[in-house]
This record gives sequence, structure tokens and C-alpha cells, in this order.
Amino acid sequence: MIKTVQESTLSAPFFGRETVGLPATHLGETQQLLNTLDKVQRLTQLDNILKKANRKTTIEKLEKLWSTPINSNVEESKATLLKGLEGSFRFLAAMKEFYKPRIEAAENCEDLEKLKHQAAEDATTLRFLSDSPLTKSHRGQNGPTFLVRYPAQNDSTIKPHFHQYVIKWSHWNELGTTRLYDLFSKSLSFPFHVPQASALDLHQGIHEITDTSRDNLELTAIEQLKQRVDGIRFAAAPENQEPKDKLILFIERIAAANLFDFAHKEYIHLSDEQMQELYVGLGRLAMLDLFTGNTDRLIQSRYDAASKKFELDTMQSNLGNVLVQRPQKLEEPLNLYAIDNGLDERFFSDSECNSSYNAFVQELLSRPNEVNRLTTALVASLQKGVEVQAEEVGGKMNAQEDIQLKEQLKPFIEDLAKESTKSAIAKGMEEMSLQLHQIHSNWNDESSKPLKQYLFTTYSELLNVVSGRFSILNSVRSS
Amino acid sequence: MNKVPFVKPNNEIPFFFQVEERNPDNAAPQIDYDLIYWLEQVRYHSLNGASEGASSLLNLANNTPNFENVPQEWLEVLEKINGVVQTKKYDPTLSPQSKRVLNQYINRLFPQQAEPEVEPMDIALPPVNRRLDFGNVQGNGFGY
Repeated sequence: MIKTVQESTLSAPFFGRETVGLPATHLGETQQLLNTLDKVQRLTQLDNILKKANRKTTIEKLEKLWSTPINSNVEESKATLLKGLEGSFRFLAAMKEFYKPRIEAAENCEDLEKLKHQAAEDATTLRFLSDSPLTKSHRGQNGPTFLVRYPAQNDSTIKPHFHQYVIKWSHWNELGTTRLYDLFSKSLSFPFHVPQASALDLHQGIHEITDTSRDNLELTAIEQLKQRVDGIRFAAAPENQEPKDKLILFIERIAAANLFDFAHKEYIHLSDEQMQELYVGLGRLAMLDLFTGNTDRLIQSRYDAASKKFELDTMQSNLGNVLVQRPQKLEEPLNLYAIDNGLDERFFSDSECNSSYNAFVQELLSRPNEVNRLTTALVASLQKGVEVQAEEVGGKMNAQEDIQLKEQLKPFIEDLAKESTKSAIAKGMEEMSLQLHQIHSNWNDESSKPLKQYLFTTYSELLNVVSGRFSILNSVRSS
Repeated sequence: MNKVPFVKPNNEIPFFFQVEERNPDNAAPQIDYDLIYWLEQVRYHSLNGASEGASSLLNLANNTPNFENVPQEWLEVLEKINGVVQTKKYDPTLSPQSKRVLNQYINRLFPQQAEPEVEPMDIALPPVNRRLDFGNVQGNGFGY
């Protein structure tokens, strides 16, 4: 599926940062990633130990331990530090087990000073956190997905600042489609948002920093990175098995709620204009997904393998794949984020299925008044999505909380049935339908060539499928 | 707020882990810094009602900064968090309120600096080149 750099016909500027053969210490951003992963793993392991102790007091004592001066006799200093970690408490034994190999590996006072500095920094970082720096997300069927958040520095002269991102085991389909959606969003006069992402493919030896820049990793770096990501996975979820998906994504973490959480916690606080804006935005995104074949979000379709035809369906929408961010002020616009992007895998493996989908899209775009049918289908899928998720979430609550949840969802559910909501969704769909021609025009100009080259190299099947969709627009326009 | 020392002074426990009284003369700056980190987390986890934030707010309510003379503004925020924790009823004003208190503290501690960035994208990696402008590519050669 993925072509190696040697096989590709790409010109040099695409891979501006070749590092093949260089030692791991010269990996630039990849070295930075290695350090970051190392820190996340350390913090998670230490946090796990601290869960069995009085967090605050233990951290204070650790900070004191790591401020112990080191004398010129390195062995003596090592013994002092190790003695500082002795005691009859189980967490102390765990702490000693964690630090002992690190202390013993120090060859000189300089090494020991570096270790002390790093350990003191880690302790202070953990002092500012009441949560684990790495938590496993329970959303989504793939993954695993981990949420990372910890203070970026410990210097009390600098304002608080956090590192925050998502680590997710996924596949090139998601990364390629995310890059594609990012490009589309820039072609639109009403942008939606797509989280930024970088990726690590340890099987192919690729660290993709941006869609225009990647490092080809040498074996030492691959081994080191594998140790770190496995360590992180194990530290956060020891019961986890080796993930099926092999591409590790590092994704921007958006401070926003998915559509279900938004519907019961935030929706009621929106202004009338913002509510309309939400539905118009959902209509736009649904139309774009319908066009590309991103079938795991809002609008639903079904493939009948016998007749080899697609048709609209009213299965539940996946409300987790849209994030909504409400601005602090009522007059400001809402932000909609398209996350977990990816086209239906069958389009890559089954050309007949893909052709059927092309015919299905062409028919929908060609016929007049199809927007009304699409709107009705989308509203039904949204209603079912809310219903199914409310049952799922409510099932884990006590009876009173369950009643409260259903009450909180009422305004959203009631509004979905209103004509004004349907009109707003239809408006969004029509707008996106018109804008598809703008996207198409941009797709054919110079600005899209880099992305096409990127897709050609990383996932040519995706490029073929999307190009096929755009050719439909030509037919629709000419007819 | 857990004020129970986790160990008693004991010969078995090395000096690093013995409970030590805080020197009140040096306590203020650290307390302020603990507080702004705590408030920043309150603000973040109460943004937009994401469900992940609920358990984080509970942790924050159980791990309040440990100091004695609690300022009134901070008490108001704590009261709101406790309200959220007790009733599990999301309060959209929590984030702006904790941001306001956070800014008061930051302005006091860092008078020369503007208010904190609301949502820094800090992935410890360079930002993605969102415009895809990485130079002139000659021809595409792929028939697209």
C-alpha cells in the first residue's frame, strides 16, 4: 500500500529532510518526539506509583531528594540517592525499582546531575497534575487512543502552559483523509476545522512530521521509538493487546465536546443564531461526507451486495466523530471539527462497490429536490444516534441520573423535529453542494498538487477513489 | 483536601520522606503557582462539557491546592466545582469564571505578560504546514 521513498517518483523537495543512515541522535524532530514519548512514559509510570501513595507529600519529598547535592565521588552519591528511596512502604519499593537502573547507569557526576535534573522536573510536573498525564479514551471502536496532557515547563517565572495531544493507533486511510479534509476546508468560504496530525509508521520506518516533511528512520531509531510507544501503551493500559492498526497518529487535542455531549450539556446555552449555525454546519459536513464516501459520521447509506446498489439509510449517526466548540460569547460563531476521518474501506478493496457508490452519489447530485430526502434521512440518523447513545450512557447511570440525562437531551431532540432545523440542514447541504464545484476547481489547480503527490505516495488507492468522485462532478455539471 | 501526613517520622523512613513543615516565608509564591495550575486545569476540563472533563473535575475537587488563607475568588470557583461534582450538572459558567480568577493571579504574578493563551496546540512537534506550500512542484505526472 505504502510506497517507500526509493520507489517513489517524487521530486526532492517533497522529502526535504532525508535522514537515512544518520544516528538516532541526529533525528531532529524525531529526536524531539523520542524525548517527548520518553517523558510521557516516565510521567505515566511515576503517576501510577503515586496513585498508591499520598501524592502531594510524596512529590514534595521526591523534589527534596532530587535537590540533594552530589559530591565528587559518584559511587557515594549514587548510594545516597538509592538510600533516599529505601523504606518499608510498597510505593517506595516501586519508586526505587523505577529509579535504580537509571541511577546505576550513571557513569559520572555529570550523568547523575542530568538524571537529578530530569527527575526533579518530572516530580514538579506531577505536582501540578491532579489527573494522570496519559488517559485511555473509551470512545471509538479502533485504537487504542490515549489523551495526553501535562504541564510544559516547571519554571515558576513562566505562565502555566500544557502539552496536550492525542496518541492513536490508526491507519493511513485516516491520516490521508484527514489531510484531504484539511485541504477541502481551506477551499471553502465557510470553513470547518480538522485537527492537525503527525504520524509514526514503525513498520515502514517513517516519521511523518507534516504532509510535506518526513523522516525515514534507521533501525536504532525504530527500536527506540517502538520501546517508547509500547511502554506508553503498557503504562496506560497493561491489559491492552498489540493493536491491530499499525500507524501511530499524534493528533491535536481539541477542547470541545462531541455532538452527543454537546447536545445534553451545551446546546441549551446556545443563542438562536448559534443553533441555526450548528444545523447548517452539520448539513454541510454531511454533504461533504456523502460526496467523499466518509460513511462513519452523520449521513448513513447501505450497500446491497445482491443488487450492488447503495441507498440512503436511517441507521444512527456516529455523534462521536463531530466535535463542537462553543465560543465564550454568544455573538461569536461555533466551531465544528471533523475528527476520525476515513473513507469506507470497501471502496479500496472492492472496485464494484466503489463504482456503485459513484453511481449513487451521481444520482443524488443530479436529481432535483434530493436535498429534502437527504435532510429527512440525516435527521432520522441524528435522532437515532442520540437515542442509542442515551441508552448506552444512561445504562451506566443510576435511575435519577438517567432521567436527568434524558431531560437534558430533550431540547435538542425536540429541535431536530422542527421544520426550521430541517431548513437549516437543507441550507447547509445546498451550500456544500455548490461549494463542491469550488473544491473541484481547486482540486484541479496547482495548489492541490502537493497533496495529490502526498496521497500518491502514501495511499494511492485513496487518491484514485477521490479522483473518481470528482469526475462525477464533471458529469453532473455537463448533464 | 487531605491533610493527613502519609508517614509519621520514623527511623525506618529516610529523611527525604519525613514530613517537613513548610516555611511560611517561602510559601506564598509556590502556593500561587500551584493555584494557577489548578485553575488552568479547572478551566480546561470545564470547557464545552466534554465528558472526559467530568472525572477530571472530580479529581481536581479532591486535590485542591493546600493553603490556609483561601482567597474569596478561589472559594467561589471551588464551590462551583463542588456543585458540578455533587449534582453532576454541567455548569457552562465554570470555565469563564475560573479563567477570570486565573487571569487575576497571572496578572499578579506576571504583570508584564498578557493573559494566557486559551488553547495552546502544543504537541512538542512543529505545526503541520496547513497551506501545503512546500515549494514549486513541476507537473504531477499522475494523470490527475
